[in-house]
Amino acid sequence: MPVAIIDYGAGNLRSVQKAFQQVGIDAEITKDKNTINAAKGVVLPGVGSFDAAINELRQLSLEGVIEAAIGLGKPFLGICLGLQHLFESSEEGKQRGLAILPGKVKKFNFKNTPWSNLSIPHMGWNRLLVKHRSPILEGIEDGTMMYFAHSYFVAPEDEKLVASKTDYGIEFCSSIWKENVFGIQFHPEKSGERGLEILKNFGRLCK
Amino acid sequence: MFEVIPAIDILDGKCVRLKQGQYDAETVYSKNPVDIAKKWEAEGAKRIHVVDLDGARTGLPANIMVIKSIIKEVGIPIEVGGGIRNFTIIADLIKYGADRIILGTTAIKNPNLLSNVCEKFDDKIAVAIDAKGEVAAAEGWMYVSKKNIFTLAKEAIGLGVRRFIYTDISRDGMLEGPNFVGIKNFALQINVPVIASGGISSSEDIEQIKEIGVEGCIVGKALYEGKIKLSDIL
Repeated sequence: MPVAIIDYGAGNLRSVQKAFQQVGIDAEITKDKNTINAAKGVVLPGVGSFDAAINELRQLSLEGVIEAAIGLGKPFLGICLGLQHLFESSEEGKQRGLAILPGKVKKFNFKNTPWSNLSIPHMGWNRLLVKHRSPILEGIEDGTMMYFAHSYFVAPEDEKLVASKTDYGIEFCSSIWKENVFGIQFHPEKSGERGLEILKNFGRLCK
Repeated sequence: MFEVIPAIDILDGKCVRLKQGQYDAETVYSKNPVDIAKKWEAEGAKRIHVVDLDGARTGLPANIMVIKSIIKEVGIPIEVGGGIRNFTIIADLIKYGADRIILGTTAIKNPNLLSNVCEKFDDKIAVAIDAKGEVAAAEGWMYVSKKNIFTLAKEAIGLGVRRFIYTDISRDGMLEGPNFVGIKNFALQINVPVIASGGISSSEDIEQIKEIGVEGCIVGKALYEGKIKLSDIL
């Protein structure tokens, strides 16, 4: 199997799988260690709350499997909460993240700012401001609209990890890249053709 | 990340609910839709879905002033649909502060207009897919086009549409529960956000729709009849 989509009760995995299939990439939804170990690339999706999801991941003993996949240099893609889990901690919860990358997850807070009318969660289409073109952003023009649905965003310690930002009151990090580790805050499976292009780019790396 | 969106359907200036879109099966809930909008806002709604039923049927919006009052008097985003079939009305409503404009019949009958307004107003435009089985209805649901909903949606995406509202019109206003299979099939095949509507009758229905992975759902009659309380679910 080229791509394993980790099933940790995060909901909405079928649409991610379906989106991979639409660009001709086989992807399996699984919580089985052997299947994940055998996959050429790993996707950690995620909808829900930081603590509940990370607890589930630990309960299924999948933390080590993810670390091993990343350590072996396999392409790894975290989507939304899956991106947030790559970091050390989150303002959303008390649990420690996977801590694969240094930095934390912050909540939007527009109180006492000129943007106090902006609603949280940030839900809807917004632009990618490309900072470092990561391999999965290949062919994606600066300013392309992607679909977001989140209240928290990642703040990597190392600014060099930031592949793109997006402006919602502040410019937050909307995607990251470090070697074989990719993360995107938006939902590629809901971002139309351009979103599918990103999954296709990722799939191409999973050889 | 899921929005529960109260619906306000306006017929002849009043807030009503229809059954399956039939104009002779109306129940009047209030003579003042603005009060109702304020009530849903006070109960915690993050967005309101307003439909001009006169407009949907005739193609000429008849309740624009009421809709504008709602936009002016509540602080949350308002999405507006029903009989909006020309550029001037769309531009006017957006200028006035409508957060989102919903096009139904126009999407089926006027692809040029659809592509124009998507280019100009981007994701402020949403298309209503009013499904009767897999076929799309139009003109206040009185007319069933021969267009397959998936074909229609994919064409619309090609023209720049970035959001759909999927309604199963056989379920709307019936309080018999939504068509989960229909919603799921649609949301899975369409790679842009989808809002589900039609037949949502209980908090359990909402929980189940959330699992499907749609952006939100529109609730009408169940709210007006007290079967769902916004405060319980938001």
